[in-house]
Amino acid sequence: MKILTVYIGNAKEVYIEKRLNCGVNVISSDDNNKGKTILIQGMMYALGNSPLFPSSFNYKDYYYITEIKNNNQNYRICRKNDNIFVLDYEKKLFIFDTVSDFKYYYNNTIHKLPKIIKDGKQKLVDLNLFYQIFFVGQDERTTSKIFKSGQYNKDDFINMIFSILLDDEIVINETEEEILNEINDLKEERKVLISSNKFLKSKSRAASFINYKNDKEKIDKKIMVADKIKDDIADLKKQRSTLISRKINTEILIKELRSLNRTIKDGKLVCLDCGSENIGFELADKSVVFDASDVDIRRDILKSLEEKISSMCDEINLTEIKLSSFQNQLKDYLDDKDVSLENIIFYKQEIAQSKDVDDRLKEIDKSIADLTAKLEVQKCSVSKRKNLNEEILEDIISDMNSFYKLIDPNGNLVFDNLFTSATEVFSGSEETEFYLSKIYALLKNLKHEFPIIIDSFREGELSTIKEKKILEKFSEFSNQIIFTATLKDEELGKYNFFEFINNIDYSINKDSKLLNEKNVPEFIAALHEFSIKI
Amino acid sequence: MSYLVTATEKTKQKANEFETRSMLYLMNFHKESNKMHWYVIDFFNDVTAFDKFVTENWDLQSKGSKNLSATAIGKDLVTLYKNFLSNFDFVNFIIFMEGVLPQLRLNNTITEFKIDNINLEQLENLKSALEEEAKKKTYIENSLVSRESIDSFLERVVFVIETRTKQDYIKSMINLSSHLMPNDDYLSKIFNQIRDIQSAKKNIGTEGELLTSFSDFEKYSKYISMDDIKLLVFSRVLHKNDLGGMPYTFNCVLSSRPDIDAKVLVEKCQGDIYRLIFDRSNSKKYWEIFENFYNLIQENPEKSINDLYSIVDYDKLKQAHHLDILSAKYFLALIKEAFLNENSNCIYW
Repeated sequence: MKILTVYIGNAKEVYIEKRLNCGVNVISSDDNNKGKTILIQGMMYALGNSPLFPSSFNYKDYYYITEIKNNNQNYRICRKNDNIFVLDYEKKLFIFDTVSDFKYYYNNTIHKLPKIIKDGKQKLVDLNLFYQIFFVGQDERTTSKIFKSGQYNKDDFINMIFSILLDDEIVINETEEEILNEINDLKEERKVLISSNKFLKSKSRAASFINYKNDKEKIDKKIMVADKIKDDIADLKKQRSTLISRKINTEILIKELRSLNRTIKDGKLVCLDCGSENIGFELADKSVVFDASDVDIRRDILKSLEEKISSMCDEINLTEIKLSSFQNQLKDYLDDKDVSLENIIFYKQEIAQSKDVDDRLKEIDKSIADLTAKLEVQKCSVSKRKNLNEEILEDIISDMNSFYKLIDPNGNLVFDNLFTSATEVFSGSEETEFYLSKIYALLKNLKHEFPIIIDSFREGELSTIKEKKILEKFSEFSNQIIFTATLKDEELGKYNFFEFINNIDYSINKDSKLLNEKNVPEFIAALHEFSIKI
Repeated sequence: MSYLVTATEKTKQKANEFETRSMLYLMNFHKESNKMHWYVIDFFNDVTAFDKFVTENWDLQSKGSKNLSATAIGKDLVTLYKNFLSNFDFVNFIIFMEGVLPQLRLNNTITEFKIDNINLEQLENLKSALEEEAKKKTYIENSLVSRESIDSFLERVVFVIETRTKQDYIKSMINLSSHLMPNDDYLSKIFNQIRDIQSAKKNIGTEGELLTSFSDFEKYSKYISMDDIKLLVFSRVLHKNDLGGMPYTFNCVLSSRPDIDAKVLVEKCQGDIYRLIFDRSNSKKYWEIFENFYNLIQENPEKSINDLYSIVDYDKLKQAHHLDILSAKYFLALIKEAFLNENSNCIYW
């Protein structure tokens, strides 16, 4: 993907940036408040990112258009608040009411987004998490967390990286935790039994009642969990039957349309003068009778209905897969968890016979052994996956460290993770070098084609030598690069010597006033293409 | 072993297409197109246009040849001249041509002109050819043919050279922004549908009929009205553009029925409309409803879908048994949205 043009504005004032090229771009200015951050945030905001504009800028009052080239096709994306408009390369217009809707379009058309498990379900990641792979804004930076966390945390980011590289579907299965819980419950029961044995032998009835009460609580809890799974199953079944009935209705519609379209073969009215079959009953005020539709329209409609049926079939399949996985879960759950029920019944018997305690103890021991074995197998597959994950992480971290050593040979930082711990946060030039190393390592390992966008890439006063090495290393890849920097007076014009850098100078912009009335007609014309009138 | 198809009537096909171009020219690009309403086919001439109350007329002869010489044009003017000489009061005369030889015009950039743009020598050839042809024809009284009458006839003739494509004509009938307009291929198909209707009209035999006034043409149904063509083009573009998305003006209906699953409701309404347009044996019913809805929306642009539904023609709606109250409202919303797109090109925020 390459970013070609950015428009920001409304009916009164506008800023248009067309000078970006597909290579290395450095936007510089001699002072702060020249509008670089507004440009960068606006560019990403139109693409679905969460906003983080400077507080002095009322971003909600403006429209943002970003034009991108993706796989040699141009798209124009316009956003105002939560409404997103897309003009694709065929000049078709798509309108989305929420960023989520846009996200699904993005996933289907522009680039497949990775999936992670969140709240027990597998979901597409949001764009504002995905973009952090290649985009670093200027404000609210912190090395120990992801930016603008919201519903995500750093584990989600790392899982997203794994999901991109391993590219396999993670099936929800009984976790290690659940198996351990089962084993613990059995062990507890065992303890209780053994002590109850003693009680029984002492014939203390009060104690047995206490144990009975304990188990009842456990049963209630287990019933609640089972009920939740049953509710999920009921919802999925309802969803499935709605889909099936819609699919059947669409199939019936297609059959009806085909039969309406056929001309009836037996017996027809014929004009005696010319033999034509085109007899229309004409009232005095009607001069012509056309068909209500032509071949093209009918063909397009039938085609779209058939596509609808395919997509519904896909959805039905997905729903059935989820349904059977839930049903299996429920079955396993009830099978294994009958321990408590047995327990209750057993206790009642126990009061009469203590011999059964030994049998029961034997059973418990066998169950514990079986579950422990299952745990081992589970651990094995989980650990295999964990190993792969660790390898990936190691590769990325080692690339981070080698990049760091290259740009700062005298530096003494060593990175051991994609995020620092909460107590050990980098700042100043070390912070900047951390982000640069991380973005570089992610680029090298994920081999993505997105532009590298870093707002204020030399914060903390990175030296010119370091800067040069950074720019050279990044430009080894064919990705577009968009960096911004605030230069000191003596540094102005420094980029003129590097031929491969496209230096865009924002020094001439007025302080705190990026937008002006100059290009308003051009902007209004651009919005016109989206059928927006302001 | 193969067989080459030859000796087909391909000139007829070209002529038919050109006659449709000339009719559409009259409908859209003539100075006085707004006044014209009835287009009578192959009756007084190739196409003759009348205003709604048959008080004004425009008589047109079409000639789909590329390199017309002055003599050829002179010959082709004979039917217009016949009408000029007749008892009926023909007012405007137009000859619509595909192309002329370069030496004909004084100023070769002007494509609509009167005889003042014709080279004098060529004009002489033209007049001679016309005089000769008029004398030959039995349907013109020889005694009426004279240089003076030819001169005063030619003062009134407008010569028009074709400069537009098929798609231009269709595009000019409705006013849509470029990304909502169907592709040129499809526009060409709509043109062909109009052409087929126009050439079918020619099969009605009227040679030898006697009229007492212009408005007698109505008895023979050899005419097309501007409204029918405009409705046809609008309807074709509407249904071709219908990507299955819900028109946003339908929201007012949806919000009053929160109990129904919106997707299911919209699919049902779309299904009903598909049945209506697929039912070719009942096309007449479709056009009656469509015309009723279209006119209502045009006359009441501020009314909401629910208000519009209260003034539709229920008899016509009942006869087309495919639509019920919800799908009728959906159809209203579809037309209203296409209408908004046509007339304003924008969504207002």
